[in-house]
Amino acid sequence: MKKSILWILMVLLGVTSFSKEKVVVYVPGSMTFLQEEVGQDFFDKTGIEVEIIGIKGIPARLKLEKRRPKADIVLGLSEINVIQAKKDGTIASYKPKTSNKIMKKEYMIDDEWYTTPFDFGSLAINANKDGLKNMPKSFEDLKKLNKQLIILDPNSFTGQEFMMWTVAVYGENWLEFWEELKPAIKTTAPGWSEGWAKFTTNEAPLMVGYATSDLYFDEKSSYKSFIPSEGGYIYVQGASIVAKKNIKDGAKLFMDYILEDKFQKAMADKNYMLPVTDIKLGEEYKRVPTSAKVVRVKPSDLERIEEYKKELIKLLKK
Amino acid sequence: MKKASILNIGYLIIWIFPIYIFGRDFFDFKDLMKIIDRDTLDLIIISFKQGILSSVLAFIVAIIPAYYVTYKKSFLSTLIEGTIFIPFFFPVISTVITFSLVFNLPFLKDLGILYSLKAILIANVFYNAPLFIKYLSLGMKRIPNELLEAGLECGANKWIIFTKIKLPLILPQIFRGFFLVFTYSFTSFGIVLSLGGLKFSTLEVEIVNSLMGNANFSRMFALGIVQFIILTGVNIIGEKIVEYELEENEKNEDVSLFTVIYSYLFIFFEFGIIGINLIFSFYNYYDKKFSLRAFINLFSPKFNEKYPVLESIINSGLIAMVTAFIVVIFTYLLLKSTSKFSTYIIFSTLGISSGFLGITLVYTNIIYEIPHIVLLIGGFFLTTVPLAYSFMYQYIKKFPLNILEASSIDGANKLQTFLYIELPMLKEILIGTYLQIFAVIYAEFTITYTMQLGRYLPLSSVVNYNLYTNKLFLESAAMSSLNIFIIGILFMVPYIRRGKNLN
Repeated sequence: MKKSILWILMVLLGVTSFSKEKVVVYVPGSMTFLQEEVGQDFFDKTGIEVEIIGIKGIPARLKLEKRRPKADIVLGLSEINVIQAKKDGTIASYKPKTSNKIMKKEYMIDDEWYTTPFDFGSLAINANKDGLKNMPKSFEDLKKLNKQLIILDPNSFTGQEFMMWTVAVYGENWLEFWEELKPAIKTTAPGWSEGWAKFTTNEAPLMVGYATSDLYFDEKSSYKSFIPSEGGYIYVQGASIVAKKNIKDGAKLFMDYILEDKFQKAMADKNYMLPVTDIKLGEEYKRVPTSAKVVRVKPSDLERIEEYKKELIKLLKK
Repeated sequence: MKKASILNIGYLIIWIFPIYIFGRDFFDFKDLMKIIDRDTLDLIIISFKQGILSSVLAFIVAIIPAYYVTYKKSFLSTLIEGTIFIPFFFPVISTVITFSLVFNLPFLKDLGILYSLKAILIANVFYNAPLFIKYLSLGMKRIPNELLEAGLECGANKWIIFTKIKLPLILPQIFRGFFLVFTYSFTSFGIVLSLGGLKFSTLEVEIVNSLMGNANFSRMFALGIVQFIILTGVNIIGEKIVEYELEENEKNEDVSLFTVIYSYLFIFFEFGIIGINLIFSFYNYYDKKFSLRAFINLFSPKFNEKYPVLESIINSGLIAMVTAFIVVIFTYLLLKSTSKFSTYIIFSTLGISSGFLGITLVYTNIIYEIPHIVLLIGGFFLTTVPLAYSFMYQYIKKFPLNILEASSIDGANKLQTFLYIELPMLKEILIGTYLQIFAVIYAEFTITYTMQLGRYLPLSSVVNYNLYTNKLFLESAAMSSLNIFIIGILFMVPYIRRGKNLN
């Protein structure tokens, strides 16, 4: 009898261990800090383990895993990525229970909740004043420079967003702007990390980047970013549940969690991005340049993004 | 079924399987037609241009040091011969960082070398000139002394001897070296991407961009097919060049002062780049101060929690050890029983983009749950067997048959023949090949970067790259220095042993 009870207990233990859920979250390489920052907190609240995996090229990985998805959630999708992922059928719709925490309607990427916004950023031109005679103030000023600007490959996330920024500013004439900007370009870095490495080793005094990048430097340093006077550009990052036969309950809980204060604060503190909920930011955020005027890309331009990338790359290669 | 056929078929299956699975699920034949356009042609032209220019320049730079190594036995010859390890153990990322820093120095910055074809060519010459030195000196050492003496006796001058005797005999080696260097330059990724920039994108860069950027897998597959066809064509032409069946013989001749000075300059260039990398592991570019902080960080447990430096070194070392062993054994067995198609089959993998191969291996894991480490070893195996084949070919094929026959007559089986006859005589070449393959695998970047195994299996080249992109330049340089030290020690062992044996 005792033996039977022991066996039953062991089986039950095995079953419960076996059925302990783990949520796999793919994030851009820069967000792997989330494991340490929120992993334990999420486990304490829900009893569910979360595994944060850094992946370069999340949209590509979504497509690659379509037949056998390994991830439950992906973070870091842009508006363009979401359009493509919806077409490919690789993400699923879910409206988090905490969705009312999102401060503004403008942060919404997709009305059908195929993605939940979790942070946003503002693009800017990062500048090292020491390398410049006169600090530029606008896109037009950038055109007057000579091999002093590091831009990013339009195939990279930041490069793509910068390209769309110029589309939002210049409309149909965006390519003409680039034609005139070409003499100002020192090099096209493969991605933000590589571009940042070149910028901080003084290969060029200007770089296409993020407004919050100033937070990397001391207040008194010569590094000061600016937002061109033509208007700022906001991009929102989204989190989505990966489309699969059996979506884990834990995945939905994690989607609810990303709008909680702990997660939102972690993104602000460690990722230097701005929260979509109303959490208090540190004093240092007062240094981040802002712009009263914000430009947006038309939906019709979003549909043509691959065409635009091809045209821009062709121009840059000439 | 002949052993050669089994080995050839096995090899083909290893590389065709992941590519077939990927193509089956993603490739649309229409995309192959779509990419035949002006843009693709431009990519092919740039790939060829930088490949040919890099190869020709590397050859020109290598001639004089190769001549020195052939005719003089000195410490300088040992150093020049030692540069052969540079393409294999000095990581691409370290090369890129060092050249970026050098080309940005105040007196060089205004020359506008960085982000130009010049930067790509200089870096490719740095990497590939040592390969040419190996092939050229081998060719020169095999010129029969009797022929040269006969030429002199007939009254031929140095120019005639060079053009009518030496050059025709070493041409096969020149071509062998050329085709290998061309293939490496054609498929160069890190150097082109970081030192050249978007303007000089080659087919390989475009393939990786297609999969990492816009996830257009069908286009990437189509570009991979184009690259494969081109490189297979090049390698088939290379294989048509038949080597002369000659043996190395001792050469000793006076060399001119110009040859000596040039050879020293070459050493200064090659080891200088490595030396600069070493200096930047101690010198803080921002503070303009020297410190050991970077090395201390590399061994700090806290640092290793975020950047698993030590774990990656161990992983890379173990994987390289195991895979190199498999490669050498497989290549030895293949060379012992080659069919006429073996060479074409083996060298066909040189036509496959490493980035492309990496992504097909990732997909194989996704679909069939084959462990990453198995796929990684498979990928490294495919990319290094052609190299081992090229290094070992002459020695295995030209092994004295009469000795093997005598052994067989004495009743020795194949294993006994290998252990007691072949191994003692081939030991140096097997060990040398093993170490070179070890170094290639240890420092390999493109496959490991594409497979993104960071979390599951940290590997040295990718951890080093992450240090760099996270602005930890000192630590990145320190890690490169550590890797150079590890592999340098390994390579010095056979040289020290050889020196002791000669004494």
